[in-house]
Amino acid sequence: MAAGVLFLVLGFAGPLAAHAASTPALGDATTFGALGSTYTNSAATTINGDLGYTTGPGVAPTVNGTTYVNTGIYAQAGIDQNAALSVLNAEACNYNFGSSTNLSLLSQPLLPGVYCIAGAASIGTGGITLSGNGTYVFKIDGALTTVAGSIVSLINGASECNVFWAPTQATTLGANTTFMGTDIDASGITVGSTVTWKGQALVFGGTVTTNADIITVPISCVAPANPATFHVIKLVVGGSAAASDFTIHVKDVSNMEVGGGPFPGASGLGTSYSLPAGNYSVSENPNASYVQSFTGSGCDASGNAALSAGQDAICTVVNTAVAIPVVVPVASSGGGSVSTGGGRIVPLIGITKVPTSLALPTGTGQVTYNYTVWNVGGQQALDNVTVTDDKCSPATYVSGDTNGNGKLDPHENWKYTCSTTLSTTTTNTAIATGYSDDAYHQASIATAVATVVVGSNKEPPLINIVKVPSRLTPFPYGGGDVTYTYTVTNPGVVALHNVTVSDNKCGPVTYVSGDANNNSLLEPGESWTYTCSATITASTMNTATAEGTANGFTAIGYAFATVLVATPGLPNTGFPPQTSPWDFVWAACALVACWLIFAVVRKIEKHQAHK
Amino acid sequence: MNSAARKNIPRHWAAAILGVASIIIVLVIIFFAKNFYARQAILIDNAVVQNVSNASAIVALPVRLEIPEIGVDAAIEYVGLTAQGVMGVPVGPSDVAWLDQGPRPGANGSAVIAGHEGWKDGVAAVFDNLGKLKIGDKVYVLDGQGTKVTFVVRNMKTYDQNGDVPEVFASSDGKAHLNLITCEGTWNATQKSYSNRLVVFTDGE
Repeated sequence: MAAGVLFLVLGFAGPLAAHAASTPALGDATTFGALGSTYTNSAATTINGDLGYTTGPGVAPTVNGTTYVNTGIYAQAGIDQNAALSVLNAEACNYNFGSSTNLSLLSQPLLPGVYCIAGAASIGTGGITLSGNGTYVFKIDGALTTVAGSIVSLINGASECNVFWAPTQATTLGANTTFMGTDIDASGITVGSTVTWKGQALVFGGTVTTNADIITVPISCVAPANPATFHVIKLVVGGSAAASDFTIHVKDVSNMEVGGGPFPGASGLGTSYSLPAGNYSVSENPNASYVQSFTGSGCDASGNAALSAGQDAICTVVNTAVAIPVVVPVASSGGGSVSTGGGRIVPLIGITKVPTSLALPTGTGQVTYNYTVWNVGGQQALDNVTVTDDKCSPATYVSGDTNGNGKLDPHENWKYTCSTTLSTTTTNTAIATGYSDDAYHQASIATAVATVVVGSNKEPPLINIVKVPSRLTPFPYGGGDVTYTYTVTNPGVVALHNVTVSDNKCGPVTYVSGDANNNSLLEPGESWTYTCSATITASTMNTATAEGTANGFTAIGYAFATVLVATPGLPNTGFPPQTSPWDFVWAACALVACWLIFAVVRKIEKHQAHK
Repeated sequence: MNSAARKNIPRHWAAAILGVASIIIVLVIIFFAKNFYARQAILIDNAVVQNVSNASAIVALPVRLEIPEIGVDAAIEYVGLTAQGVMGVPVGPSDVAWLDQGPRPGANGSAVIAGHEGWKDGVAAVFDNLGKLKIGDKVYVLDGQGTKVTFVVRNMKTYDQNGDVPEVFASSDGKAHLNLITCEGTWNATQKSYSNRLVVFTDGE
């Protein structure tokens, strides 16, 4: 145990010692896009952030923030700016350069750390690239200049929130420069024309000059007083892609990426963002092999999230492989009967997963996952049943096929198992699929998510949800009303609080019954029922999400169900080929023309004969 | 005599050429007259076009379909599904048919209107030129309350006559769509049907 803790401490201490750059607190200066005793502007400039000065510009900029003319927090922002500069100047150097340096000529990319340049620093036409999540400090004993059109690029988690420039002489940015980070420079900052700058120009006591520029203080740099925690989970069902094959974006209302993203998709409990309250949108790079949908209490069906201060919200981006025809077209004409889709019935499958154990307090150890798969729909047997787990393989069949027919019959419970060794707290997702054993071979899907904690005896909770629509046969064309019944259970050992159920295509989902002792805790053994009604006009697969918390962990479960609506056959809109009346007209015309030509030729012949 | 004949020749030629030319001109005028008058009527209608943004508000029943680009100005019949579960068709060549079990044109969802292609008893069918529409062309539906709903062509696609086509009859984006269907391909005398269907997908403006 002690060795484990020591290892953990060293593990974290190691990289910190190598690059000790740290981000200083900017206090009241945090929100300023430009701060100077004198502010000069010669053409339309936009400042997305606050602006502060004592002497104002000839041309007023557009300020999407507050303008402080020697009022309010202006003076304190100046004090905080200088305090931050002192912190930067006190930071130990990681990389030393003895004389004036063109940063573009250094080996790129530049890694996090404190760069100390004993002379002027410049950025040339090649620009610079900062790579990695960490703090970058450029202490420059001289001027900072950029040539026209140069670019500061950020990759691999580098954020403009953590880039600082501290020159002892003036800063001059060339025209059309793309610049990143906070520049604190009491000698003055001159921003060339049409510069795009994500960061801050802080020149309290000096002059800041702009000219048709855009300076944006990234919202994510403004440390929220009480941030919301936003988990964005990637759930991939079917196909060959992994969660990490998808690129997830979380953007604020100005369409700017937040939290240092984009990030590769993460399964389990996903990627955690700490964000100020506000509106955000979740999106991903499209993948033609998958159908995308959003689910969870933290976002709507389009991936829009409205986060409140301190909220803990989950948004899951579900991708279902196109190859799994979850929503199968139903043609009315196909089965020969009217609007029934030929007696097709939608199959439903369920899965629970229970790890043994849920907690490994002494560190690395073996965990066995036990899966139970059953036929939720119960209307027909399920064929080709498979169980896979993204962090344990293989999940092997143990028992349950009582009649040995290889099909998951109603009332059968099939057991699967998988063992693995875990060294860190792990959340994994199991997926069960099965197909109706009728002519339609329709897919059914279920998932089970479980967290096992390593290094603590606090057992994470588990939650399971099953959803059954009131209609399993296709609606006639036009659709109809459907009621979903959700059954939420606790397969774990600790009671869940803050249980919520949401559905990406039905709302509101209302609690019906199940909390036997009325203590608002979903206890092991309890089965809570929820319901929701919707009008369905086209075949629809929707995803319900159940969430709950206990022991500081969030448990999550998903349930999928399809409701089919028949599609009419195409109309027979064509007349048999017929002769057009115009055909007669044209024929008559041709005859007349022929006769005229004949007559003319005859006349000519006659005329020549006379000669 | 010879000199008289020489004078006569150009006169005969001129008469002949004039005759042929006037016949061609008359034919051309007849040929375009129908389209011309149709366009005139539509131009007048356009003067009072009201752009109704689709919205989910209750939309009145459709009455006429107008597609200026291809000279369509047709009455709308209402049809359901046949015993085989196939969308019905208008009775004659001149009208179009709206599937009245689906959304009304302008309401959220995919409204569907079908029209014939070909000749029937000497009359050209309403959707003969449907395939000449281009992306961005406008389609108008006049409802019973005199409101005109505008749609814009988004896409055109050919399907097999027996195709499973949920995308033609349903949509889930919460917007108004109007899809126009007619026949194309080759005539199968046994099945009494053309081999393909042309679908023009339009979106509410």
